[in-house]
Amino acid sequence: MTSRNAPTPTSAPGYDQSLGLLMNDVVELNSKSLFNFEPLRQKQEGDPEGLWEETFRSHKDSKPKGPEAISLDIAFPAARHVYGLPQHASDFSLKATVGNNISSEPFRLFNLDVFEYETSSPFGLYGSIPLLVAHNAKATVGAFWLNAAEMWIDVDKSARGTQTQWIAESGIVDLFILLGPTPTQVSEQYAALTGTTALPQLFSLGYHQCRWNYRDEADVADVNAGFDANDIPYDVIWLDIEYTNGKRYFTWDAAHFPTPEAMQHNLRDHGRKLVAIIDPHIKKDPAYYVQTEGEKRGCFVKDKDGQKDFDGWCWPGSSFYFDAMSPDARQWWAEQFALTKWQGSTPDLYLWNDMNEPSVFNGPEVTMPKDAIHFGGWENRDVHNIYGMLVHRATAEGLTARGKAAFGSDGDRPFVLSRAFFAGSQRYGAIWTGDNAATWDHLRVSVPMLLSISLAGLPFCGADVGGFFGNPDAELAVRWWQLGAYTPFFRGHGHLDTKRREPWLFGEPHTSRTRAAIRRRYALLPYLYTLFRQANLHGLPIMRSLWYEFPHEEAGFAIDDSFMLGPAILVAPIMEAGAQSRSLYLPGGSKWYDGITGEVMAGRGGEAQVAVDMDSIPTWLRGGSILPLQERPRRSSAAMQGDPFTLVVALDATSQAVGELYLDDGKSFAFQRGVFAHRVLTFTDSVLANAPYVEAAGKAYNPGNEVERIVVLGLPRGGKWQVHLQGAEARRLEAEPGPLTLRPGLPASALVVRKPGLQITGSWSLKFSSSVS
Amino acid sequence: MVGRTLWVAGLVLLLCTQQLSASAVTGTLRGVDPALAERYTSKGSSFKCFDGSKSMPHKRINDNYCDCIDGSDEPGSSACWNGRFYCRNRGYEPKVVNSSMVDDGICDCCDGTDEQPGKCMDTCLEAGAAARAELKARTAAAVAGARVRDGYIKRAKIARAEWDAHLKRVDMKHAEQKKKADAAKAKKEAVEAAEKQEREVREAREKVEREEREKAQKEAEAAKQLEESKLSKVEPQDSDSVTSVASSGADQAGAVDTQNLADEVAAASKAANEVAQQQQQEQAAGQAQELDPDEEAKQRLAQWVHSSDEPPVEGAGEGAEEATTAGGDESAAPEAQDDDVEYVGEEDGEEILIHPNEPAPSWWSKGKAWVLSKLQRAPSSSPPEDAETAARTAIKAAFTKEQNKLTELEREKQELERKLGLDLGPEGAFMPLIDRCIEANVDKYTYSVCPFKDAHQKDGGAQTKLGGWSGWESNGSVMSFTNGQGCWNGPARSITVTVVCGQDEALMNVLEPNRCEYIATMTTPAACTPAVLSALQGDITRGEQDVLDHTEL
Repeated sequence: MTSRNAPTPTSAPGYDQSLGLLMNDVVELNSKSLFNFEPLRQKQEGDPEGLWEETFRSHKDSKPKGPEAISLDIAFPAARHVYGLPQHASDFSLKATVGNNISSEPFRLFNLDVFEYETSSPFGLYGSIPLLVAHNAKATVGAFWLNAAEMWIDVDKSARGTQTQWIAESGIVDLFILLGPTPTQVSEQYAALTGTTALPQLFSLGYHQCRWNYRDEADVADVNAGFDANDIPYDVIWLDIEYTNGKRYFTWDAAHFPTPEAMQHNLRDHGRKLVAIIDPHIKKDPAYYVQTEGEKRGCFVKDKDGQKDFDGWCWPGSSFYFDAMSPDARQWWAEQFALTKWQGSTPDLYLWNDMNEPSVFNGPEVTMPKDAIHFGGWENRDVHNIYGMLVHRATAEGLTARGKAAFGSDGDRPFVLSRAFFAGSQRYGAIWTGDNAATWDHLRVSVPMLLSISLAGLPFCGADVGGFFGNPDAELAVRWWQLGAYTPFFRGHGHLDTKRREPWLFGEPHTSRTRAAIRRRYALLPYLYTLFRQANLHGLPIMRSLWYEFPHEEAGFAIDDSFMLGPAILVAPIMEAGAQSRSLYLPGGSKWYDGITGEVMAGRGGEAQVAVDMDSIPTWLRGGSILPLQERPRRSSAAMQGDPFTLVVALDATSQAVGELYLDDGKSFAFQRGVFAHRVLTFTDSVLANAPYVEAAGKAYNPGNEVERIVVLGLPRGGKWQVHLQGAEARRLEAEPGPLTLRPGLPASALVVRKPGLQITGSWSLKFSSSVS
Repeated sequence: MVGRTLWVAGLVLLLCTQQLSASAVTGTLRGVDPALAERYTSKGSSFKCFDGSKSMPHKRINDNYCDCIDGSDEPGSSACWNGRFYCRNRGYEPKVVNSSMVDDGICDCCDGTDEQPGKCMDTCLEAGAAARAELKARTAAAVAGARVRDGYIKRAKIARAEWDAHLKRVDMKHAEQKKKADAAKAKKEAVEAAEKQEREVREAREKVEREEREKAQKEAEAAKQLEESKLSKVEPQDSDSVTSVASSGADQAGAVDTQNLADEVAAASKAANEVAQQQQQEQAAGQAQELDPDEEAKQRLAQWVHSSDEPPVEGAGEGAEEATTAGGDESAAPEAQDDDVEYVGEEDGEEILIHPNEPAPSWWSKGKAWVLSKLQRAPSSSPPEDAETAARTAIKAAFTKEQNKLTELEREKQELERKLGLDLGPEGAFMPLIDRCIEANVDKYTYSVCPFKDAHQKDGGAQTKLGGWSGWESNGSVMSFTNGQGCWNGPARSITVTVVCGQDEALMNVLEPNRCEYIATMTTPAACTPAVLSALQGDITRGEQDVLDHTEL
């Protein structure tokens, strides 16, 4: 069954057009003849032990269908680097698991709640996406095996590129080869199969403050006030499991949260939201309405005999598990989020699904037995990895329905964070990398982890800032905030046993540094939101590896200690204590500007050693980019809605640049009926132009925000520049040399146009001319 | 009241920007602190940033664009990243808010000036009235508290005088008692010296006798071997019985020793009873191979001193457990070290040893545990007495008695010195709290704070120590208790109690913001100092002025 892929026409503009000719060498299926499967059979005398029943510690798997495994091999003869297969706490470029002198388990895909996970391991974690991406300087391809059973993948790197062998415990071969040949095309092809990212609410791109646990309503109010007192923006405060009445989700602990609605109103009045945790395990308690309702309606996963509801232990003790495979159970679950149903909830309350691998404290490997029965008679064995996504989905659908009930047809976009995930989770919300630890190792591994998840079509992801277990010292905490500000989902979180660590608690000078990092995040929100729109339209990642943006530069293929935030910002986090400098790779052929000073990097990139201090982490603006920013510090994203914009134009070596801006109400589904503004900004031939985005010209959204500042980096020096508005209302604008950022002590590295009197959503063009003779 | 739908507020803001600059022109510059007003209205042709970095025409002040890197050109807008907005808040007190909160749709100043006109209601009169009422109540409580405090100070003076006088008395008694104890000690040491000498004599004699006996035994064996070589059949030797004899001898070692002492004393005072001596010699011979238990105890103890990390040789589990609780009664410890035998011989020795809460060096407790185990092997019957023995016992008992009295006085002295050394706040006003515990019930717990002593969390019968007194912090406004019971996987518990002025003692706001780190607030009249009172009076005066200002509007 050897099959080679036929050449595929490519339409990637600006990419290597010769690729089509090379496709023959890109993917091979079954070249090692490892395609194999267990035929279904009847149990017979003399079958080897383990075929029909397996024991693991005190657990017994009844394996009613006997052996069902299926395997195949995929080779990438021209690729030395393969990526993806999240979730693993390991390098972004996947290490070989077989070969000379290599002793490793294969990469495992099996959603598990792993206590204090290690930072260099192929072991399965909370989520699984069976997508592998191979890349070389000429082509990018993907292989996606849609199968939710436990899977093991061996990676073998030989002289003939990379060979992989995949084994699933059960299921069928539903294999998709994504032919690229560009990284973005692989993303688009994968999104065509599994969906693109739901456009998140703007608030969810702000800073989230979480802790297990904010104790009571007074604590929530104090933390909320603390952010204002310290002039640090944030959008959401989170409640972990202790807010409930005895871990009964959809209830409140009356002693500590007697007036949840008033608490949410207070947050709302400060432009902020509340997120509360709801897990899929439902306490077994006949006096608990959710349990009795679910039981009556048959909404729980069954045990191996398919009759009784499966009973497992989690936070509340003995619990049932919501059967997310069942459409009816999902409907029932979604109904729980109605404002009329969930007492104490308001439209400013959003959601967090944890423990949805699912976590079963007394189960094998802390999860559900493989022979437990889901809706449709499916064994957990067959659907295990998809369960968490379906919980995520049902919760998001519940919030969507709630929004439509509360606000009419434009509704309210859901926000749900999930720990477990699968291919397609991007359609339902954000995920995070679970229970990490306050160590430099965990800070370091968060970057490759997030790059893998992002590449696998799930861009709305983040790691707990500060580290969940243990206490970060001030330096580690500050470095984590500085990195987290450039990751798609940005949330500080900590374990019950850790010291409090709200951003001001480390004292000065740490508070100022943290404030600066979080404010930087908020300044970038227009750029970030635009990236999310591109993810929503095309399935592109937000956080990208260097090779994703610079696919020809082999020097970047293994780099996972720095990354691109969208196409325009290179982020080089500091991930060791006491760093005085760090080395980084600035892809050549681009002009790079220091993200704070605006000074251009000498030379043409490549390896560089840069000095660092504690005030920020190195970031670089890519020449050729235009970034829309909102630089006024505010207490929340909601409070920024009326603020003017800054446009940062970072010219490339040919004095050109391009960027875009997407704007809508940040909240409802009105954008789906065209209520948005999507602009394209270009700088060519000394003219900066703002025009409608070519693909989708939304007309109806025009909030009227002004441009207060245009900062141009990379104009030829020496001349006195004049800037004129062109067209019917032609006039000269004020412009003078100034700094990139409004901070003391920075050089006048840019030309700054002062108060041009233009609307950000308007069409206009500005001519830049030098008066020097 | 505020921020219903913020993006709508944003739209309103944009429509109002005209209004904003208009107010700048009329002369009442928005957001300017009156103390700085002059710098904005100076007659010069230009405005200079406060940091001197730039000059610009006046029209750039509050034009909603940040020109000065220090934010000084935009006191009334959100344009700068670091601006400060001043609201007068007539009817209440002025406030400075960060420029990030200006025109963001949320009312931060009670006069509403941080938002565009029409956005917020002026709530300063109400806020001021409420604040003033609260202030009045607080002041009334403070006045009452100050009166109580006067009483506290008087009591503190009296108490201090009493403690001083008491200490002087104790000092005198202590000096006298020291003499008595020294005299008793001298006598006791004389007895011990005599005993030591007697023991040396005895040991020397025993050595000679043993050597003679061994010699005789060898000769006998040689003779026996000769005999056996003559016989064709040899009776096998019963090795078991030999061993059992030896071990029974070892078991009696303790008994032998005590008896030795008594017998030696008798031997030194009158003519030796030959039979008795014979017996005793035989017994002594039986134990000769064994180390004197006293010596062994001392050696073992010395081992622990030098290698404190080694586990106890026997009873590692139970013994160690006992050792930690059996810690060091500080007064008992050195005594025992000086004179093991006597200490161990006390019938209530165990009770003295077990003294929880007082940690002792581990070598010491381990050594003691070992000695205790030896003690359990000692015979319960008393040795035979005669006049001399009785005399010696009496001398030792007298010493113990005097020494105990001395120890008791030392304790009393230390306690008085501790009290006199305590920082009881200005004028000693906190003295009456020295023997009190203030409690609060939070959830299922009762928290008990005993100033200058310790703090506990009680849950029914169980109680957890949150910390022992470690002193004042933050210029005498916070009581700190540290080194409480350790937390699993965490630090030792601690609590800091912020002390504020109040009519009476009450504990409130007990929280555990970090795992095992508690905080609380305590009201007490002791904190109602004249400074607190005058600050409150000042606030009241200012509040009244605020009302006047508002009515002048």
